[in-house]
Amino acid sequence: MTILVIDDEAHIRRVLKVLLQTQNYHVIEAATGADGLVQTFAAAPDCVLLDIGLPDISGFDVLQSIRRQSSVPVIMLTIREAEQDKVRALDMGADDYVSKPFGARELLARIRVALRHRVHTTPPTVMRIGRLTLDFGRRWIERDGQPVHLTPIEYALLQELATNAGRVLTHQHLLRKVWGPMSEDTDAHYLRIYVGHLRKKIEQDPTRPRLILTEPGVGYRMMAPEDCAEVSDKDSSPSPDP
Amino acid sequence: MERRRKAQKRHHSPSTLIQWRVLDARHQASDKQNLGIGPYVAVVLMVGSLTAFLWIPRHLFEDVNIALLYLLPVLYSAVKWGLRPALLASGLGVMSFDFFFIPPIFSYAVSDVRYLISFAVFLVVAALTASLASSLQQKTREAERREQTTALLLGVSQRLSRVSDVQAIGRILVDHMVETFGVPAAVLLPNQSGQLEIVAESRERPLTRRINPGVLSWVYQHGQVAGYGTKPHPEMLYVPLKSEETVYGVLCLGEYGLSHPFSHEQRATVEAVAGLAAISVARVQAEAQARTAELTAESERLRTALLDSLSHELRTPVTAILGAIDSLQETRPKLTREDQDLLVATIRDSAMRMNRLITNLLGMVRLESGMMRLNRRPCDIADLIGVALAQLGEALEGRPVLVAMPEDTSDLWVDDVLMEQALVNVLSNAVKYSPEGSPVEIHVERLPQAVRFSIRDYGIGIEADEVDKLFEKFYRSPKARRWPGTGLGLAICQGIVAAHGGRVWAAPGAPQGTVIYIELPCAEPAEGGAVQ
Repeated sequence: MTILVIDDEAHIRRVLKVLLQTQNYHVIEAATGADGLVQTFAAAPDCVLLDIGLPDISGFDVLQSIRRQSSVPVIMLTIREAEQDKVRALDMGADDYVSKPFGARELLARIRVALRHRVHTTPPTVMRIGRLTLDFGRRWIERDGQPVHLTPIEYALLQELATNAGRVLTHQHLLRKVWGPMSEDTDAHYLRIYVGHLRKKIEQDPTRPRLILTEPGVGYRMMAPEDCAEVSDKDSSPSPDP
Repeated sequence: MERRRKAQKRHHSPSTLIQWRVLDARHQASDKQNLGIGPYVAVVLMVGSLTAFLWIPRHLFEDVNIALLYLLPVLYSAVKWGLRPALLASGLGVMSFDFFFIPPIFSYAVSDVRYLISFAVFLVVAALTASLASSLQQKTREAERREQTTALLLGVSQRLSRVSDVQAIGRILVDHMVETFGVPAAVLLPNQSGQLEIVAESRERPLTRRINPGVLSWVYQHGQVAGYGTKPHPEMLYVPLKSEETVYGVLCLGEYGLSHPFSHEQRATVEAVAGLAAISVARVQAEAQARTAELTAESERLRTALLDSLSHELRTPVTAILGAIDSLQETRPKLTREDQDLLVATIRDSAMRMNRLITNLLGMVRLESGMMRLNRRPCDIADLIGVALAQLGEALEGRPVLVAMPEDTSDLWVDDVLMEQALVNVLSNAVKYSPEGSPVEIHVERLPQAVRFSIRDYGIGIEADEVDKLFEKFYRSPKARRWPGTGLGLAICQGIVAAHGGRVWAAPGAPQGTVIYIELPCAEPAEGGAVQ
């Protein structure tokens, strides 16, 4: 697996390189947007980490140029407060983003999810996320072995979130998928209500959600199954010995 | 010079030039004591009637008595009209005395040569008396005028001393000119870029003539009066507002129509008032400068506080990080696994601390610079709290967190990213200043017009007298000094809440701890729940 890092900060590139190499990824680097584009098409990486603030071309333009010719997963590196940039990048075809300063675990999780979505185009029919079991073949949801009763919209919402587990989904994306292409921005209100209902049914503590996370100003993200396992492990045994 | 000449040409057509010469002549004449022929006629009449009055009982009087009586009109006219009518009165008196009362009567011939000496003495006495009386009269008038001028200047200076901005000074000056001289007036002061600008103009009597820019700048630069009879012959009186050697502005006065130029005294008064105004302008400007200096000092103080606090808050984690890294680099073989983990954890914690500080600093800068724009969206309250709690993450480990809120909390119309920061700042204080394992409680209440959050901890608490200070920038409670911090968190929280039209306040918790209240208005947006 080859990962291309496009960032003008040499230190960030160095840290990312070391980090990614420990996970057995092959890392190539580009310090400018132009070089990044060249590398994207010449080296055909499996995933691209793209900084939004590049010195020569803006990250958005690089993303646009990549998307014209390639469906390679692109993860944007953004700053925390720029939620509008995040939505814009996602609308333009970015797969996900991480906000600087980010933790290694968070970044690796995003990369794993992005790579997985590239390999598996059809999601599995049965999923386990934390204490939740989802069987999309039978339209059956269980929590700790107990059946969970969902309305059709709640089910559709959960299915969309779960099949994209680990990825951020924008409000608009969810509205289109669940309420249909004619839905309007004003329906975001319903989205929030249904997410609230869903949380009450599947989360242990709806005020501190662990499964459906809110990305402020952007959308929602379902925990990836493997990250969820970590969290629940941690819950059950607070001091895991490494 | 060239410009002035041009200006003169442009503004003074030949017809007005002729009128000026006439006016100028009148102006010159009016400066001398020009009383007309009235007093002289009166003197003739007085001397004539005195003669007639003395003629009938002339046998009852000695010549000396008559001569003394003839001094009366001299004294009267000297006091009343001045020296010249008095001299006329003395001349007429001597002639009448000689003609009617000194033998031979009805002739200027004199029978006794000694009378000539009497006449001479009479003339000398009359002339002396007249000149003394008239100079006395002049002095009295001058004193009166001085008194008037002084009273007037005193009044103006009292009015000027009460104002604190230059516009008001201009206003007073203009009003005063209109009241005293009944002429239109305008005050011009330099603006920020140094250009003279009208700051006050008489409204009821606007300037009838356009202000001549050439004359204006000449007066402003040279600090000299220009008006009738001065070289550029402007149509108005331009008086510099001058104090010592500095010219602060120019006062423009329209003349009393073309037939009433200002007298020298009036001009002197105008100049004196202009001088007073100049002193006031200087005072106001000095006050403004002092205020600016005070503000600068205040912001200087804040900057120093910020720098002190910053250098400490930033250097501490950097020191920890560098120390931990050096230990790892140089003494790794000697370190146990636990020690190494501890050092790595230190590096991580320190970096997190720096990141929090930087987030707060950026938030403060955004608030202070007015660059914070609210990106309001409808937000679910439970979601807001959930995200804030998730942000705190590890800090909340081992803490019971109680969230109590009504079932039907409708959406809030807020900037969720900023509100989240406000909540995180309050919550992280709750965690920071309370013992490990103690609970943190979040209550949400629905009020008729607002939603109230209360965040309660069971920590060190606050004093009743510092509840307001808590939200000041850089304020740190004396009790909280042993924890690191900049005193920015609650200030930012308050800034964010205030930007949403809400308010935030603190209260000591009973029996211990602190409660922070955040109240946000739940005003619905104008158009449904539109998402931006």
